[in-house]
Amino acid sequence: MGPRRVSLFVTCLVDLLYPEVGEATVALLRDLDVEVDFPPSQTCCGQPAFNSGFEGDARRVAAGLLDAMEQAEAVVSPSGSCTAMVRSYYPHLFHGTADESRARALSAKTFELSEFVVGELGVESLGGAWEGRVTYHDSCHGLRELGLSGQGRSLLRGIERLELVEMAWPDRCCGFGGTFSLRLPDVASAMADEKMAQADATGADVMVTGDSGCLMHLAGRANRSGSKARPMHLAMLLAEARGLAPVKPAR
Amino acid sequence: MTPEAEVYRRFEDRAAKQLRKTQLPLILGKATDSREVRRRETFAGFDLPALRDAAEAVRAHTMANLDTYLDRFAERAEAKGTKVFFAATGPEAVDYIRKVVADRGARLVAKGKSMAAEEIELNPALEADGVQVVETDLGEHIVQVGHEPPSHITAPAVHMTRRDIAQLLAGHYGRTLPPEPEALTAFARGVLREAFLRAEVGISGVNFAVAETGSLSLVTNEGNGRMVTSLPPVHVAIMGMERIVPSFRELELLYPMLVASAIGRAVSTYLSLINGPRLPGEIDGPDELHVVVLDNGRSRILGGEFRSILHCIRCGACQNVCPVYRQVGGHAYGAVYAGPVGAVLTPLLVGFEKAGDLPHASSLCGACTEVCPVKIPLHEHLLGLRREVAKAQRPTGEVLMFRTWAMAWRKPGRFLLFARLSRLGQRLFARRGRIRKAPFPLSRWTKGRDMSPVAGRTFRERWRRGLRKGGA
Amino acid sequence: MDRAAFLERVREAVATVPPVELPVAFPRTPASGSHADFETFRASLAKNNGLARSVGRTELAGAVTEVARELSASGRTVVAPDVLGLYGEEIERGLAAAGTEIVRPEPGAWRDEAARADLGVTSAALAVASTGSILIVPGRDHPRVASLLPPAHLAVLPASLLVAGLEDVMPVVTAAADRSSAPVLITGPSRTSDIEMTTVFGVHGPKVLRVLLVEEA
Repeated sequence: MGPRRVSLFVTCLVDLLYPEVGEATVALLRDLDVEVDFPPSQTCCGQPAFNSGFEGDARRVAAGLLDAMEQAEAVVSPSGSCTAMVRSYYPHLFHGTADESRARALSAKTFELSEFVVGELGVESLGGAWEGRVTYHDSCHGLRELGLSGQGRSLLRGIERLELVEMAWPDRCCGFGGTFSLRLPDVASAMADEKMAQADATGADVMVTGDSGCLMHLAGRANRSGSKARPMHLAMLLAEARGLAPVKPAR
Repeated sequence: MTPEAEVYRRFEDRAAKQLRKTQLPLILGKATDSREVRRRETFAGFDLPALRDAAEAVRAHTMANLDTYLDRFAERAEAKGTKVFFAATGPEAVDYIRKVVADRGARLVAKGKSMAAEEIELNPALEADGVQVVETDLGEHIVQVGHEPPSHITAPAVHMTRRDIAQLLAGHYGRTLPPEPEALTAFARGVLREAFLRAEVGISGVNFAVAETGSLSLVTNEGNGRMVTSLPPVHVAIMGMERIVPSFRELELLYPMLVASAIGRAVSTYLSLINGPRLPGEIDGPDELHVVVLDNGRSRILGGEFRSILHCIRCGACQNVCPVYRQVGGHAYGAVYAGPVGAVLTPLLVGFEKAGDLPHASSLCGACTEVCPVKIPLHEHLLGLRREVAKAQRPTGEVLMFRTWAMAWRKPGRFLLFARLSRLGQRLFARRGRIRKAPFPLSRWTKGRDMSPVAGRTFRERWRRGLRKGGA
Repeated sequence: MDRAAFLERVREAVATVPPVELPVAFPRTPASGSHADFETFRASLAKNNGLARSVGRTELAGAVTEVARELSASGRTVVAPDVLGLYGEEIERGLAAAGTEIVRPEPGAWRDEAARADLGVTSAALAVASTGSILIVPGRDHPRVASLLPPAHLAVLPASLLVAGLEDVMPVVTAAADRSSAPVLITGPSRTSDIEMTTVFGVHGPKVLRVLLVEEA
């Protein structure tokens, strides 16, 4: 049995652009009898600067997360890539600094949502019902840094009337890559098009992902290219299936 | 860097050219996908993690003792009559080879595939001396006729259709040729056979030099490797200094790892093991064997943080899984080495001024690291190189942007202020819940995608308003 | 740059590299062997588009005739002297029955004759069951061109030289390093997929590979 008190690391993208994903995450965890608090001094994990090679700037912002989560028993985040930043890269980022042991401590207690539910709480199915065909996109950092793959799929399979289908290459990068999507926007869009084409080839109504970066990129592109499959965050779909859906702003 | 890179200096511009070729990702995608599927099939049922650990250890051990192994190789090779030349730089290597060719009075050189030869720009130098150089690997021959660099490590002409190739060869040789692989291959066999038989010098690369016996191993499927190293009276082999194994025993592991990762087979059609020039009494074989061992920046890499890139065995698996490579092809990288391995190796070999943007030609997805048979942490190296490039170049715009970002985002109060200001500013751009045209630099996003505006109430604002207590 | 100076630069660079042990044993690879049996060899070679037969000594001539009829019916066949030394009687009888002209070139004429021939017959030092490979070891009685220039290649070797896998080949290759300038491990006919990833045989080397493993009585 895992810890029953968690602190939410909501991530900057969710906080600013997709707050309903944060709400869905809180609702899901509370529904599983987990107490959730939100340390309000958090801002961002620092990844944007880190991925561009600006470790000093990344560290400055990341230090804020170390402070915010100091007292947390466990930290849960609705983002594979932000969780991976903390787990895989914070030890390196703070290596040789006074914060190194705090960074390692945070790294050891931070989880992505689906791995927390399945791995820490031991819950492989949340039940509920959702009508439609769904395909699952393996976000790169979640898959390759955290080993996420079965967890999200297990939770989706546990939903009645939901049909889970696989794309030809579910683990191929969608093209977001953080600043990559701004540095090489045309290549990124081409990558998104290929991903959406694979989703559409399955006949899926929805393509689920655990990362808001992927979501932002794919949904933004799908709007332009007229793709049928709708990109959606895992937390949103799970919450909807359980009848916990938060109120979404009109889009 | 390629001639194209002299004109289009940025990856982004070269990529844009390739993206306009709408057929390219379809051809490339099919080719690379089939190779990746075959790679997985070939390794199914084997302990791939253990194989990769062992292969990594063989390469790492060899690099850690590279001076010993190179010394041993040279000694043993020279004892067999092989001439070993150590070239510190590309020009040194080129000049040595030019001299060998000139001493022979050679007018025609038959050449097998060699990335090292491309790296030192050997062909143009020999051609400037009035020597004709014929590429004999079919894919290399095709791109040579087309005056382009190869676009993939093991499939140089993968970016061309059969029609492209038929037209190209027909035009060059003044013949009509049907756009069928069988017919085109048969035609090539005929013309290239001529080159093998007439050439005075054969030039090849080296897959692995073998220290214990002073030998070379060459991995091919076509047979041109055997031709080029057997028929002309002089054979010159060029190798990057890191392309070496301690003994034949290590080939037991690295040879199938290379072939399985490259083309999804356990072994290639030919594994040529060259122990020296023709022995007294042997009926055929070259009279002279020269091996050129190339540094050209490798010793500098060996002494640094990115040294494991030298473990590369040139299988091309990383290219086969790279989601960027499949969209833009090899030429977009503007260098001899393309794809993930190229994005790491090229800036280290040619410098950041020419190739500092290559480490950014990646979404850091990590697929390359996952498939590398010798466990090079390719995407970690790309990240590390971005750091080194930022340190070296201090690009003003980015430095300022990230400094400002860090100042704004290190305090929650400033973060919330940022959210509020964005919400205000975006009123100019948001229509019906989405932003279709944003100002620079976000215009780079909205060129191809819609953008989500900052939410009416951010998560932290909703939390303060009641979410905290378990309500919505 | 002279060897000493070059290696000095390398030595300096590796001075900071932590030591790594060379593994003494390797895990099984796709080329590793299990059984040195003919059926495994035949199937592996067939997967690589070559054909192998196991024949008794008394059947050898007939088997050679079949191959030569198919590949060099009214053509020319070159035969490496070493394989004649092993199975000369059967090979010459077999070839003659197929109507092919048997060419025995002088050393200096081997290249031209091999280039004009339809079929080359050679020995092999090993056959490898797991991969379907044969090890060709050229030498004083065995020119490289015999297995390289003609469009078809027939290798004839004793069945006792069949080994299980690639791990059995390397010790033999090491031992041969002083007595042959260019051994080659051959697995099937020459091939390429450089044009639209379509496999085509007979690019530069032989288009057809046949292997006869001869069981001694």
